[in-house]
Amino acid sequence: MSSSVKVLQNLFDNYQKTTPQKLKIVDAYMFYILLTGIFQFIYCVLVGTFPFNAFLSGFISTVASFVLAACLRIQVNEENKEDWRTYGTYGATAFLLAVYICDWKAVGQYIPLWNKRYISDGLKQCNDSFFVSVPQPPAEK
Amino acid sequence: MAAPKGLLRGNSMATTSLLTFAILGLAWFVGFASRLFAIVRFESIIHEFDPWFNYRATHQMVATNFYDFLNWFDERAWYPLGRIVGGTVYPGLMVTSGAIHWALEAINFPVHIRDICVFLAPTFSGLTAIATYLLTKELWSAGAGLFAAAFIAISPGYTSRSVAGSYDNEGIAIFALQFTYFLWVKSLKEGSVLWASFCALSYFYMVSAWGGYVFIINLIPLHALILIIVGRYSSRLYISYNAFYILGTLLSMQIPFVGFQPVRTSEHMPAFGVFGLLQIVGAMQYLRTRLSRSQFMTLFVGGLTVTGILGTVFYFALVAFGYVAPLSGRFYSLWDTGYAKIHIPIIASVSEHQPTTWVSFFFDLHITAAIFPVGLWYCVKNVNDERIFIIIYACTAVYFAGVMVRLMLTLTPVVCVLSGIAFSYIFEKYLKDDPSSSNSKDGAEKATLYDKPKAKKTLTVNEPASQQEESVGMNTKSIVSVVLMLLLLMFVVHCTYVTSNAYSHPSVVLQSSTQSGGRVIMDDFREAYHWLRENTADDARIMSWWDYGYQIAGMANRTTLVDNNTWNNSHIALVGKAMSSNESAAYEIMKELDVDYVLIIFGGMLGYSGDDINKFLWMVRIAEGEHPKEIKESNYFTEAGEYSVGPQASETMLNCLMYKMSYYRFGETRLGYQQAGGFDRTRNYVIGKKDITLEHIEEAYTTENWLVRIYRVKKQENRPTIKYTERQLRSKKAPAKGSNKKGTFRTATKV
Repeated sequence: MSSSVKVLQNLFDNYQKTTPQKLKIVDAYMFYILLTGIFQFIYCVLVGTFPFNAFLSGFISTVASFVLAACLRIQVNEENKEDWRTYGTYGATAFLLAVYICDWKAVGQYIPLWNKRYISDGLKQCNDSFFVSVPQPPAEK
Repeated sequence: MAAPKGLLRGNSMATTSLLTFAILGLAWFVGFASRLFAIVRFESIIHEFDPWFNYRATHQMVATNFYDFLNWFDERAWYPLGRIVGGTVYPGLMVTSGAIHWALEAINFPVHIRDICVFLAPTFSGLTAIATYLLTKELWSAGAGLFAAAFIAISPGYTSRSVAGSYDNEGIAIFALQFTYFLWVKSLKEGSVLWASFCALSYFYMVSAWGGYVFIINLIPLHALILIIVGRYSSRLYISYNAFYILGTLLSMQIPFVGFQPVRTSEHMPAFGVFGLLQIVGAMQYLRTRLSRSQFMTLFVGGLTVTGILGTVFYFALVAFGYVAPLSGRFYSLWDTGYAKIHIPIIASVSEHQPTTWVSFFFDLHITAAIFPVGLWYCVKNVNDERIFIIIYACTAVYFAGVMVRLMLTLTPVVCVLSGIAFSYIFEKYLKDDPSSSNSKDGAEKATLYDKPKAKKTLTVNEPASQQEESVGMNTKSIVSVVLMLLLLMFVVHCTYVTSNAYSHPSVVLQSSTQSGGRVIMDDFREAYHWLRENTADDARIMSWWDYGYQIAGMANRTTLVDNNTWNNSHIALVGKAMSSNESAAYEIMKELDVDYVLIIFGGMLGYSGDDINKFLWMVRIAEGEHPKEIKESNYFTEAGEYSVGPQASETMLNCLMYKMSYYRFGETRLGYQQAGGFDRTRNYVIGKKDITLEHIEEAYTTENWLVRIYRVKKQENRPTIKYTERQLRSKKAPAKGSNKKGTFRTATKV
């Protein structure tokens, strides 16, 4: 037991010393996402799974953000011999951050079919749910 | 140097591009053209049974709009239950046709939706050829890709499900399958999130198109697992699998039919398990550089075993408590092949689900069945990450194709890819002159001229080397090349023959030839459906066996009781019980179900072997599964134990509704003047009971060749009446006796 504690201690010291600053920022972001995921899961276990799609969307979005940030970290890490640094990496991360931090409506209203979900005031067509077609709201004077 | 002349100015990249474009274009054209036999011989019509439902759904979507289609509740199917179409259908096919229809209308080029549906599958066969070319190019080389594209354009295993008129999910699903696999291999090679996201989008299209997407979501995790086990883990694998799995799962849950299945059923659990395993292995890789060897080994081995045990225990706990559904019957019967016959007779009764005979392998694959192991061997010899994928795909596809005839379709793409690789490798070796061997020979000769003692040594050293490269002389090379070319020509001839004769039957229209070679068309099905459409009330309910439900709904536009969707086994068992019981019991069931007409298929006049009497035993078995006390299969056999409708048939058989409906008035027909009446040309003997009277149903319509027979269910009769003088009333008055006479006190009073 003590040997594994020592191993973990060694690990943490090594990590502090050898990781460059920008990777530590990405690691901090990943740790935050992990915490949000854990909290959502505990909430679901305690309070129940209804509505299930709300739990799934929240939880899977945290997992997705975690995993995609891990992909970014791998590709930006100088230790890896293969040359990465495609612009797509940075672009994907930027998009993810924008979606995660901003209000989804701000981004979602420009996506053609999905903008039907959101009651955006005066901007686009609105609907309650994806599967029910709602007649046009009357024009307000 | 003079400027190069000619069309392409000696530019080799231009030549290869032109050749590639031309060959792929020709493959598309040939694939399209070879699927048009049925259109040329008959007309542009939807074939078979399932495509009629897809056509009806597409028509509904085009007539209304997409959201109405997703919310459509069909009350004209499965009367009185109805069917939630939006939630039980894979919308990819309808959306594709609808999108093409909308695009063509937008450029003012209106095409009727039926024609789009009929010609959709041939069009997508060309796209499948292009996707196969891209996949094989990633796996091996562009030359192999061109071979594979040419193979899959005409291969009968694929053509069988994608002729013009066969408007079914597999037509677009194989294209989506190949394209998804191509994007997966590309993203694995590049290790980029972009390609993995494209792969997830293509997987979303596949999920919307076909239920066979389960194959993809199990094959890709299996590939990742094998790569980890073999020791080929790399960060490219981590990136591509994670991005694909997360985005793919999220997207696949957008289809209403799939819903929460990716997190709730056992078929999707391997993908989730490999996802977790990959995180662990990724973390281990990260730690490996930071720890000493011994520390790493303790952490690695200890941690991995603990998580492995926890994982399996957790999975079984979830299944036991009902959070995760166990493997569904459809997929379990692929492992335990005897399971379906006992527990789910509906799955066992479909002819496409029977095990494959080796004849089907040759018929559908021809030489590629023999050549593809060569390609597999070359992939094993020159193995890398993506070739492991095709090896796993080949092994699993061969197993599944052996279990079920229907799954020959998933075997065909991998067989074409591997045969393409084999042919490309062989032709590359055998069509080229080897320049290196002639150089070494010159060098050896020069050495002998100048220095004799040394020359002998160099000669002996050089000769084995040149012998190795020149072990196959020019003659052998040309003979082998010509023989392989002949094999390819025979393949084309075989494919065209098979497509023309075996797979181009519309099965709505029957054809035979007279003795003088003329063609006789038997259009009985459409005649009957047209009669139904014109001569019955709009809300009439038609009872028939589930095979014909989609066609009745599509062509006759009437409400049916059961159809090919077979989602409700008890309802089908009720219909089966009605067909197998005697007329009065069947009338009770038909009254309960509100049936107006009954439709059966009878092949005895023509010799058509797909009629309801041949399917009758399955009706009995399915009914027995739900009503074992009333229906027993053994009652319908003769004393000897065989199935017969002749004179030795049992009483139950001779009195059941199906027998009566099939052979009503058949006893009066004669083949010739001397022949006995009622000779059944399908069963090839005279039937048992010829004088049949119907009590509760009456004959409504029989088609020209007696193929389809429609009966009307009569209303209940009025109560029977008796003449007034013949009435007998029971008298309640007792005869007059002493104390009962009028004027007497009945109770004696004593004063």
